[in-house]
Amino acid sequence: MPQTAKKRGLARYAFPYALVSPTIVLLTGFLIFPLLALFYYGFHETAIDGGIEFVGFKSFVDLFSESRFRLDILNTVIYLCGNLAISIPLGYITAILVSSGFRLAGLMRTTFIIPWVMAPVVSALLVRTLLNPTDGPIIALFTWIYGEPVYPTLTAGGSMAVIVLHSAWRSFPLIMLLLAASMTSISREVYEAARLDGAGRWQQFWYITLPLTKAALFSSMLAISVFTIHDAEGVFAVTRGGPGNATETVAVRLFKEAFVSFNIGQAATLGVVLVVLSILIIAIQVLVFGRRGQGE
Amino acid sequence: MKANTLVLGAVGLGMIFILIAFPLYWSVRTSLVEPGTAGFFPEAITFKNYQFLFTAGKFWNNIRNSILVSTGSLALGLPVALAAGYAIARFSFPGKGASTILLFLPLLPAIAVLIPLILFVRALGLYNTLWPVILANTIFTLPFAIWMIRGFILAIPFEIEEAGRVDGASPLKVLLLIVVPLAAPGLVSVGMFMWITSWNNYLFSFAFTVSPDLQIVPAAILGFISAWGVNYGGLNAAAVLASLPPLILFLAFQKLFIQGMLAGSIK
Amino acid sequence: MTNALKSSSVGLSVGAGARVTRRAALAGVALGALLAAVPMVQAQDGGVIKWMEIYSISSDQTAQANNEWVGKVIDQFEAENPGWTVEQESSTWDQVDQRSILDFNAGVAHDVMMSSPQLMAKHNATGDFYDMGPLIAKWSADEQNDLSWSAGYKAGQFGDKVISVPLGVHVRGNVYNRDMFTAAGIDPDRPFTTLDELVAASEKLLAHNPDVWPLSLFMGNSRATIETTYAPLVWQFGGDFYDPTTGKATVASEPSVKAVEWLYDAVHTWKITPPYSYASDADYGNLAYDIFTRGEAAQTVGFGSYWVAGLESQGMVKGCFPATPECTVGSANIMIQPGGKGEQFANSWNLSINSLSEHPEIAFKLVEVALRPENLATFPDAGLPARLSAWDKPEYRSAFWQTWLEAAKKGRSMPATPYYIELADAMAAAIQEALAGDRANIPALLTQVEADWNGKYAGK
Repeated sequence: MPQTAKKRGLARYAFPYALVSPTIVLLTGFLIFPLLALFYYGFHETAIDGGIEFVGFKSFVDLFSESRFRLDILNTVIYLCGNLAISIPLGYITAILVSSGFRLAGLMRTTFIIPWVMAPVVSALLVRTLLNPTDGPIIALFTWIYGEPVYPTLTAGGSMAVIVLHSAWRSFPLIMLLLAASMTSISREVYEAARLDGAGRWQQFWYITLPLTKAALFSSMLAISVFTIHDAEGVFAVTRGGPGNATETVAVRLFKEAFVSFNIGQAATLGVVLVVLSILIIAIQVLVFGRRGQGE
Repeated sequence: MKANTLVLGAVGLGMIFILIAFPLYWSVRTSLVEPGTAGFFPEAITFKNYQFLFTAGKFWNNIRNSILVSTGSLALGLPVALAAGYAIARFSFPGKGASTILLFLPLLPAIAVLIPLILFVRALGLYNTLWPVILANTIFTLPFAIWMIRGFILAIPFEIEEAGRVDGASPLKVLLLIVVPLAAPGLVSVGMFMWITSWNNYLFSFAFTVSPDLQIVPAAILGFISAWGVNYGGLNAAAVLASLPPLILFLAFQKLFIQGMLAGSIK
Repeated sequence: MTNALKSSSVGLSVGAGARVTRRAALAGVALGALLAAVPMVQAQDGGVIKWMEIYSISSDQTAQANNEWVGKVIDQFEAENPGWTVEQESSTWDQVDQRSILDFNAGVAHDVMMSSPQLMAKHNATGDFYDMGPLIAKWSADEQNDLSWSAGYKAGQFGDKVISVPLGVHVRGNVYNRDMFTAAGIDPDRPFTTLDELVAASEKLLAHNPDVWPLSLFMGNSRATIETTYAPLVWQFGGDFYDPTTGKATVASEPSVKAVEWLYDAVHTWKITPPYSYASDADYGNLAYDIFTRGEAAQTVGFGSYWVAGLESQGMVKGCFPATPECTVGSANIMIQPGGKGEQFANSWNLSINSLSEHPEIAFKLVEVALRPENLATFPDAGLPARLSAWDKPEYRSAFWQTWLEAAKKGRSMPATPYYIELADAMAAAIQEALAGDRANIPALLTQVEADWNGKYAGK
């Protein structure tokens, strides 16, 4: 009697298990080994000729006592927050434009996708071309405004502004896309009712659009945050982390250790840090945004 | 109402120009002139950058490989993500928490574990083929796709699915015949996300393939950066062409997007 | 042959002892078959050799020309070695060394690979390249001397071990605009012999025409800064930034401090160098080449021998690329960087053999085909000839090319430490910081860089 009840009990979950199993199989199958390897390398020191030695937390302690690394963390936070501060409002504005249903919306929707579609290295080189000291249009613009040439990439602050703007430019299309998709499911009657009640456009936005698109905003923010924290190419191809180390984020540092100096051990240590950082950022966002209602 | 549309239009156009049209114009302009030509509207236009891509450049090969990879990871990833996203949104089951945590696995920066990944791929006998590139792209975009789909499904009122079940439809039919059409705009967005992320990804192709005929579009673009400098004309020509397939795809699927808008108003 | 050996070994085992069990006989047969098989494996008449090059990945016109050259070498090798085919493998130029080390660690085998001299110490420490020394020792003395003079060759030498051979020579010099010199009252045919002369002339140029930068050089956040700008200056001040006998960085030494202070002065004190030369997005090609050909700079430092083609196409030199005996300088000429012994950074594209290769000796045959004088002479990316004998040809007899040869002979490689990249990157970042800050802070800044690097890598 208990046996059949148990069988029926677990069998009850057959459908959701079936739905989730491909994901589980793919993720664990492909990534368990690399994940274990990451932690293995993080806790061992790899000599250049291949010799391996267990060192416990030493590589992490060494890393955190570096002033350069603390700067890397700070730069990562600034890079992320700067991006979100620009791409979220921009995402909303363009989403509203694009889902408002007037004739040019289709054209706008397609054009606004372009920054995201461009390969990071291409948009990075585009930025460098625009900022070229001799014939870059943006430098020409600054020269026209200020009377003498101004080179943003000469200073730490200017370089950071450049990479933040570049990142936001690349990020907002995804936010726009998801927000617009979410906005299309808000029926017009809700807006009509609010308008009849005397709500202005701003209030309509604040009290209707914002709350009802919260889920889409949250998931796009999550994706953008993780991509931004992991984004090495987009920064490296523009400033290489310079001037000095002023725009070096943890991802750029990892990229340099893995692809420029090829230090396996150091790369693994930074990799672990990056994973922890990503989890932290996600946790913070989950706490701040709360969780939307459950289905059942 | 009319004045508002005008304002909207003006703001829209202004933004299009500043944000996208100008850098895009600059890219197209650079691809159509001799390297080193200055000036906003150069007179001497040449198509030789493009010509070279397709004659000796064999760029078609790169495009073909990229399409295979992107479409492959979409075809594999979207159904898997839909299934998992639906399960997490609508069901509670033992181990749900654990499977949600598994979604964190691809937070792993692939760069840091390239060597074990290559070892793993070699062990599977898939080194120097496009399969591991497709797999890796799928797996690393899966968590976000699942989370996004979960969000879209949560936005659909549960009553509709309930009604379907009451009518006698199996859970699978409810998913495929009721949920999917309602979530279409969301699915299109997530699909675009997966396709485009794979399209621009260079890391996995770098790690798992070495043959010249398996190279993808980002590799061809990087090829214009040589030790002695950058061939901006060629690079921008390749970049302009590289942007076209995703845009065309997006245009083709816009219908589903609009369909979603109309479906929304039926409620 | 197999059968004879087999039966003879069976004969041996039978004759060796009175009582031979069936098992022993079978063992003897197996051993005989194995011994017979071994010479067959060594004299295998077929297989695949892989060649990892940096050209097939690109659709660029120059890359295509180089790719055709690779194809030509492959055709020759395949014709001379029936049964052997060559498979090309693609890499970008800045990934090919990483690729070798990465794949070596992952157990993926390659055969012939292109490689960079600056990373030879790292390759040597990792062990991912095969020692071609014994095979090279079989060449005639003339053959060996023809190639072993250049910095690119020496970089791959570790005692008797040779892990790479150069396909050409890339060296840098100071290119200057003769017309601008003449207009400012400087003799265009008398090269500077000291750095002070260079500075004085630059100030004269600035006074004469403030719209043209007298001296352009690259100080971006990459190791090109160290290679083309900083290292030669340190050498010219009589020192080095790494001491091979102690294995320690010496970036805080007096010559190094003087070099960085000189760079600071060039931008901020004498104002002869554009300020954007140390911007984070500074572009090497722009600051060492474009700016000169556009007439916006009178001299650039670190002008590469691989850019002479550009000077020719701009009409600034005539008959010099491709090299002819009638090569004459027009508005452009080069001089060896004045000061010290006039040493400049020289490198090359090298060929190496992966140590996981299953057929290293066959792979070496492919390398030898590539190194033939007639092939090296037509390799577009070679730069200057790798073979000393090629320099005797009439087309290199002109004063212009003889200056380049002198520069090549004075060419030096980067320090032979496996952690060269870390040192170069740290110094490049430090130079940017130095130029953006106070001149008085430079010694302290460099002391910090030296302590940091030595703390981690000294003596390794």
